[in-house]
Amino acid sequence: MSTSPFSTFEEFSSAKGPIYTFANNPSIISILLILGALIAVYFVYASFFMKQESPPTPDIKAIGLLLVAGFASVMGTLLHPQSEHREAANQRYSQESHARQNWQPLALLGMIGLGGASLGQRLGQKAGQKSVQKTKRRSPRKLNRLR
Amino acid sequence: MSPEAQAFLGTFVSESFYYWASVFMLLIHAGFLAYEGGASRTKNVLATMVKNLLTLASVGLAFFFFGWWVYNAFPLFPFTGGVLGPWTNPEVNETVKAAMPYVDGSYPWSPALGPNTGDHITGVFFFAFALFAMTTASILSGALIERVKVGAYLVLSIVLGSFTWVVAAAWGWNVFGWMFTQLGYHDFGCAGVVHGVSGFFTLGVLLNLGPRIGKYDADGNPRPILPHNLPLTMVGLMLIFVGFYAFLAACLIFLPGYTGEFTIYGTPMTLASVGVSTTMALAAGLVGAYISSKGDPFFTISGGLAGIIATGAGMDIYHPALVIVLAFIAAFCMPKVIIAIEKLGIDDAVGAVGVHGFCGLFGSIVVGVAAAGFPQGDGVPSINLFGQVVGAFICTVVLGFIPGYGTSWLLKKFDLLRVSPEEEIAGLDLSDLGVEGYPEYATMSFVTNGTSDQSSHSAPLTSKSLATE
Repeated sequence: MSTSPFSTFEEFSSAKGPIYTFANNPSIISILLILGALIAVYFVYASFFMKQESPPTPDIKAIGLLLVAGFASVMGTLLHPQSEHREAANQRYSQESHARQNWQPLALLGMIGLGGASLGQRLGQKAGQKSVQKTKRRSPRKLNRLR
Repeated sequence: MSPEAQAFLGTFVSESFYYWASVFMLLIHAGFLAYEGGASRTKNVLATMVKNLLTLASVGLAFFFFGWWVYNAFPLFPFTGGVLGPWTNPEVNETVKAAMPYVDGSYPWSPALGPNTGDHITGVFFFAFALFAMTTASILSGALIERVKVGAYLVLSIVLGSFTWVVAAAWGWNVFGWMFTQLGYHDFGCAGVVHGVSGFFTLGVLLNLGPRIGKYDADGNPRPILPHNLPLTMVGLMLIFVGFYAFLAACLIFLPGYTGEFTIYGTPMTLASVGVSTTMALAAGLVGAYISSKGDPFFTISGGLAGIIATGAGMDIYHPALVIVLAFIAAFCMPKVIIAIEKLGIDDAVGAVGVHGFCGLFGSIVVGVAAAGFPQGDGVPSINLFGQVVGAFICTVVLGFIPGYGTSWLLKKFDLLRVSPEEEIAGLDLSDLGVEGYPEYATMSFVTNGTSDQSSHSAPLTSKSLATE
């Protein structure tokens, strides 16, 4: 089926007026317009109910496993602290080297973060935010104690 | 006004139009830079952006040295003539005679590309085509982030941006091109010629490159690697939208002495309708992806681009109502395609294959149905489904997938394609550039420095003191 209103190139190239698809078939344009309008109306309607499916809540076993893994990570770094940490190699941006590098804070933050994320999903966003703030305030002191 | 001044005004309008359209096309690159940077993780953000930035250099130089000549030299090859160059006799036939002035103006040593008061147009067309070329290569850039070697990407960008898409454009987006003259292939906004080629080239590269570490679990199920800065990604796509208005405007041909506006195929069109249709494609594309993905931000904003790409090939003749329907369909399918590709084990970090490859293929084929029967010149077949399918196949497979797969396979054989696992895990910012993208944020070194046992750092570190990082 031809959608062109022209049969020859001469006709097309010298046209003074509509040159678009279905210009000679207004009923098709009307159908397309109705279809477009329906899409627009459905879009506005659907936007009231559009929601991403939230991930399934982790069960208690999964949370327990995460906490155990985090604790094991802390114990591991206490017994075998890693001494290597990759520094910025670019001279312009390099910092003064530290005699002693420590992964404990990262491990601790990771453990708290894992636990906090799991609990946060269950207790609500507000409780989660408080937990993070508390963690941020406490972490340096806790780390000194660990050393 | 004297007749000479009037004539020069026409020249100046043409020159200015392409100049400023090309300048606005640079926003596509600003957008890709932000889009990819936002889509990467914090440890790769700078490397990702630098890699994208270098596209302007690799493709810009390669397009000057040979890409522009390829566009003008390859339209007849291999079916209606040979490759045109200094060795060609212009008197062979009328077509060659008509094409040779463009070939002569495309050599890097051509007087037409330098300051030349006798030619205001060749240079500005070079500028526009160079921006098209960079756009094509930029599409590849985002999909490969976080694990490709910079050198490998530069080689791939040159092959794609300065050769394979240029051959596709010479064949299917050129008034002398055999895909146009023999098959009636019509691709006004480069759906197949730019997006189809680059999307499928990217697919070929991804098969050899492999997924990022951690993208799939032991059972091969995909795991989300979330963009570190989704708002930046969304701003990037907004810039890309602006750039694509200029891109489509630059597809219009208006030369000194013309009494109308034409497509690159010599068929009539209007710039105003491109403005209407691009806006409708953007709007309907956003709606399609929004509904299909249930409001996923990444897919929704990509839907705008999907709509524009899917309707670009026939935007010179589509009615806006048709544009709405086609853009909606393509953008609705796009998230499904991206998810299906991910499930196949192909890690396309930005969905380039789905947005550009799928929508480019869809857009170039659908012209054969939606605009079937439009005449295109004396002796040139009217727009038809067969011509569109064959043209789309040549763009996506012959000039897209096969060169992408072949080039990346060669790079992989010489161990030049992918960074080492250690570098990938450490992040390319430190591995390649030696600097972190966010030194003042709570990144690894911030935490380590801020809590290390040093008397000099007993006071809390400020962002200023950490700025030297």
